[in-house]
Amino acid sequence: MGGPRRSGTRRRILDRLGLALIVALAILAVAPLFHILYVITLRGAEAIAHIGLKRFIVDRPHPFNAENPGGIGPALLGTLELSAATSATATLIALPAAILVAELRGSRISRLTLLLALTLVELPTILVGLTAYAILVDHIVGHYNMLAGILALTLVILPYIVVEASESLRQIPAGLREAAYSLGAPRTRTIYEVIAPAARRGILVGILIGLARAAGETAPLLFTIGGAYEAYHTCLTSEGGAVPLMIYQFIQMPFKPARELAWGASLVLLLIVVSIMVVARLLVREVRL
Amino acid sequence: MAESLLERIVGSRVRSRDDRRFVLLHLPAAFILLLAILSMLAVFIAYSTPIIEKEGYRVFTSSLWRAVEGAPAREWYGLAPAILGSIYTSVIAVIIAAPLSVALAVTIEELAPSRLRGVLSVLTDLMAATPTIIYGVWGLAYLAPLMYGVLSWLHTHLGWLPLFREEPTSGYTIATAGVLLSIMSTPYAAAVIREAYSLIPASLREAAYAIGATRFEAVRILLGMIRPSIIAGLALAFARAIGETVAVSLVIGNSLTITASITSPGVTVSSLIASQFGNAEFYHYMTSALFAGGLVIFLIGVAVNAAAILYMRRWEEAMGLGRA
Repeated sequence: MGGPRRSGTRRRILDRLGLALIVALAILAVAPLFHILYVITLRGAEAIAHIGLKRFIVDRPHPFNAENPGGIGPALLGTLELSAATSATATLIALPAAILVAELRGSRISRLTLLLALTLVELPTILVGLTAYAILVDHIVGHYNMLAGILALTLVILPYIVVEASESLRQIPAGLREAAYSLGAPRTRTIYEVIAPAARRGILVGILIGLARAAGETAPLLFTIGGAYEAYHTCLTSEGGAVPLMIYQFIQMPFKPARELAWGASLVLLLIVVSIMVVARLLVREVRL
Repeated sequence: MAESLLERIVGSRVRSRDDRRFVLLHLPAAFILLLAILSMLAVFIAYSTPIIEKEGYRVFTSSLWRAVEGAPAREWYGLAPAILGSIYTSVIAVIIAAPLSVALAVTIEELAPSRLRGVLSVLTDLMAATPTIIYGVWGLAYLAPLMYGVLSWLHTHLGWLPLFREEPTSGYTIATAGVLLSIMSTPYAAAVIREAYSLIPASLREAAYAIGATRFEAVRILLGMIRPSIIAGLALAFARAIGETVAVSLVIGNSLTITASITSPGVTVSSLIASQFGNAEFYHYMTSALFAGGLVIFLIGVAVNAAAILYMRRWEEAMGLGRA
């Protein structure tokens, strides 16, 4: 009698409970982010306020000096140098690869190139760093150097740019290409003067995602750039520092000023990465990582 | 002759001189990708050869770690604790990330109102973009103390389970590393699941409602349809977790022992490399042993990744859900 109705009620209750559980788990999944953002902002701002913004950005670190911990100047310069050089070299390789993937879509070489990029993106970044160590530090230069860091970071961000750029190149309507061909433009010219400019937003987003990665990666730098924070190095074949590597080393030191520097540096790094992502987000609505 | 070789490499017709110039101009970039992966493999094989010649397969199965300065013959390196630790922490990470990433994907794609959907999607992207060192610093300062409390409670009340048998002495444990890895890999798994979920044709959702399914029942039916992508997404999360270095090395406690108890400190291959590589130059075989560890996670990573990609591609073809 009441059978079907009772089971209907049970299903309705189960429906509510199930949906509530899904939403609760989703909130739990993103909750740590809020705490991380809150904590890094709070402790980082505290540290920077204590040291003074200008001194923190420009000075050399004094990790043992509680009165004046100094700043992250050399590491910040190193990160800018590494990110700029890495984005440039990675783009030079990734763009032709992405064009190959998009232009010859369906062919063996297109599928193979994409598969290689998707494999490279999943390889642990510490292994990329060890490879750069073996080639450039151990064999060619003989000591830690910035070039090895650039090589490692290039291999890390290369596949992100290939995947992102080839996706946006694929979405350019065929009519555009046919119009260029009908004007008698050769294939290479059509791609670089019509197709690629039309896909420039997506390509730029790919480069920005790569830039954010290059600025934030630590593991590829562990055994490549050496970690020198005392002086401003600009020579590519000499040792250098970077903000993420400095955080990793300073947060493990048992000295308060060192950890204060690490917290401040974490906030700076977070701001760099988030602002790059905001620009990328403004360029396209959906950013894939 | 050259033409046909080029066509064979490319796998499609190269019709004109114009086409040929295009292919020749762009092929080197693809070749660099191939070269990068092959040279990585070559480096790891070459560098791990000395230790494999000395210890044989036992470098992977032994749990003894004996670094002796100035006496290469007495040095002994066993990677078993690190290899098992890598697999153990990554499995814990995937077990926790599985419900979280599925729920996150369903909430964004199905349940959230359109405004909230955008916010959640931005937050997920931000989680994926946040540098791993930031997760590490947070884990070191906040997650570890929190986990110490949780694990102490679990040990007191559920200590008879092998999982919680050891009394935690600090928050730097296998469990802490697993939880941190699960937080970090959830957005990656969620992205794969979201993409598959959004590819389900609307007619199938309508069919589920037409036979009287509640919303929750419809979600369960649709999730059943994309199960292969869920598995592939979790496999990618596993591959990420097994290679993660700095965040793990800051919270795992770096202890070279084999234990089933997640309340004890442990070690992973990458955290071992991160913590020992600096000292390795003082010993004859240690660098080689660390590269041998790298070779193991290299092969595991490539295998898991290739399996996930091929599995998902076959499923997409079978379902006729090719990307638009």
